[in-house]
Amino acid sequence: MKKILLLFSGVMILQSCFDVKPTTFRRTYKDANELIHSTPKLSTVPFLKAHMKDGSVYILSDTWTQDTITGNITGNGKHFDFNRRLMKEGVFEIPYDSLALFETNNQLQNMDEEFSSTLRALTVTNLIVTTICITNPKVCFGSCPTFYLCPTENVHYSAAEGFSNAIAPSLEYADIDALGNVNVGNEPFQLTMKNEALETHCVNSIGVYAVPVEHGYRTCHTNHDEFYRCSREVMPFKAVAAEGTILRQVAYDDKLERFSVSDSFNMASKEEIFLDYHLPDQTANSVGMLLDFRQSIMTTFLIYNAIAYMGDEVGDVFARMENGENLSERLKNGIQKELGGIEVYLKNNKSQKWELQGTFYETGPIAINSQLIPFSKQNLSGTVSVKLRLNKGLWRIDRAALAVIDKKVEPVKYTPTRVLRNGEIDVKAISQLSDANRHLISEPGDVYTLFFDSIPAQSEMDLFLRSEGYYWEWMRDYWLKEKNMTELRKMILRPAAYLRQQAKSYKQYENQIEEEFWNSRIEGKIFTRNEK
Amino acid sequence: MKNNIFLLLLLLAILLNGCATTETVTYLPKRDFVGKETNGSMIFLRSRQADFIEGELIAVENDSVYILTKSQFTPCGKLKAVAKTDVAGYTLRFADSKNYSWTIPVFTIISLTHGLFAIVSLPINWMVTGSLSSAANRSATYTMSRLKIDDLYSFSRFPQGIPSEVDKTALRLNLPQCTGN
Repeated sequence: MKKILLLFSGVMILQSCFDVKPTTFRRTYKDANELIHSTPKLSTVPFLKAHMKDGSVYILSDTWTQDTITGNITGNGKHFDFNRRLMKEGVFEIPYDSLALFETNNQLQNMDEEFSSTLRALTVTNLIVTTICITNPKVCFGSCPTFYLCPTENVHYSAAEGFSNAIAPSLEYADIDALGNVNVGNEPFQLTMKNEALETHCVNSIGVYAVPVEHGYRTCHTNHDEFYRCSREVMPFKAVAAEGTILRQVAYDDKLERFSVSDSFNMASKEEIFLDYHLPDQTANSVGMLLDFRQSIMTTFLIYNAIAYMGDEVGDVFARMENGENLSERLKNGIQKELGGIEVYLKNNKSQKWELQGTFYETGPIAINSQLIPFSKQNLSGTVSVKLRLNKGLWRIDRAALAVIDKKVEPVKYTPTRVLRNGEIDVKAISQLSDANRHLISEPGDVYTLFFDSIPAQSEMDLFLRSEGYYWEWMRDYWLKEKNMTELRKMILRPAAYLRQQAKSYKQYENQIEEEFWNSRIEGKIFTRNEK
Repeated sequence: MKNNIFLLLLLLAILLNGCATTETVTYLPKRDFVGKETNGSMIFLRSRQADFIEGELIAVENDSVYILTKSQFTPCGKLKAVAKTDVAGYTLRFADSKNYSWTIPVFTIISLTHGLFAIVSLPINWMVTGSLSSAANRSATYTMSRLKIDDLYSFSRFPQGIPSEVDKTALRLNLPQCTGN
């Protein structure tokens, strides 16, 4: 409703930008006296039209004059009969008494140039985006199933995205994403799953992990799929990256993200972020790094590059992958390993050395992940220094906090009890989701509403989505032209060299696409943890 | 939901407002030449009996609007009179303007090539092309709400009224085969 109103207002506002017509531009006068006395700036009127009593009309050019003594109008022009056939052209002397009406017109502006220039600007903008999408389709299309807590939200407010790495059956895996703190009212809890890409999604199962909320605590999910009850979050008092302080970007989960652009010469270049926290002396609990993050479009670009290189052999390559050829492992260990995750280092205050605590990794540029890495060292206090080492231009960090860990908890798992497909009850979907050997098949445009009736009503829960499955990317005609098995081999066998080689072509559209896409979200919306 | 459908239909109506196409009338001047034309403007009139009358506006007199209409049997025009009280609405086209309505479907299709970015580009394209089409149409037309029926006369062939010495059956549309122009 709000979006339609917005669009409606936009049309109305834009329409008013085109000043198309003055309310009056034509005047008529019954006699010469009225013409003389009622016409503002008569001398500037470009021509005069004289309608005669016999139905004919004279059009006099701007040299016309009137003689009030003889009662004539004299001028150069044309005379047309009542059917507007040209009768005579030349100099005329028209007596007042044969005139029925005078007519004058203000000159109107030709709007075609204004309209054409607007259209030119729109065309150029569209062509730029189209060209980028056609030449680099990887950045414009698709990304696995998206999940929403509010069914009317768009991709910018997606709560989670499922199994982004699983581009073939053999790569199927289960993915856990935090949905945040949810107040379940009297209505059953529901999730909306959309297929917003040119992909076929094969969903094996969907579940929701729930931990009842206790006052003053929140549940954190680790990168190894463990759950901890955390009592407190500590924001950094200092946060520095290559560009200077980034405290404002990483202090809160407010969708104001810190990100960098890729290296022009090597897509695998790394960077470091330094964070300082202050922990009170009495902190005896374990502490962990709580990070809200997501990827940029770099991984999407690379995955789609790989598929495009396969060209018309995409079926053969995937068949080999499914038949045990270790291509998928090579892909994963090659490019993914080269780019790496977000490594978390804790500074040992005694040895002054950085000690690796763990690595965050989650594929996908849409939904923000919130994950915890518990530190190996206990009883930290005073100033705690943390270093993040990450690939340039690959990660967007919303918040980097420390979480004080209370204890490990076991969530309760709930499965959907009812499913609607595009608003209609889908009994088959429930049986597909509950059978480990079957998949729910979701095509582009499909919207599934999943009801979890067994989650207790009137409860406050920390919820986590578990989605398992894989997806098939649809081939586009223009991808077939990009077939390049040599490049595919290079990508797999020599990922470091490939990432250096691709740096310039990725750079060409990185800034434009990233900014245009992510800045297009509607400003002013108040984000809650639930909406991430 | 009903509100959404209503608003969408309203938006569509506004967008399609620019799509209202008319038969090409060669004698209508470009906007910057308005006033030099010798014939009346084109009028598309709807009567209270839901009749649609289209043609050249010949005259507007005390109680009637006169329109020279074309049909299969009267290719050079036949004069029709409509009582002012019977007029339910009209659109008056006084100038020739380019039709930009084709831009709406074309830019909608272009947006589909933008993938995820269509979320941004589609509404922008709709807003701009819809406004452009509508504005182009409005730049050369008046409707009943903008130009009262009593002010229509100045856009007719005979703003003074049909002269008594003119044979109404001899009136011809401004077509080469009818006037020899």
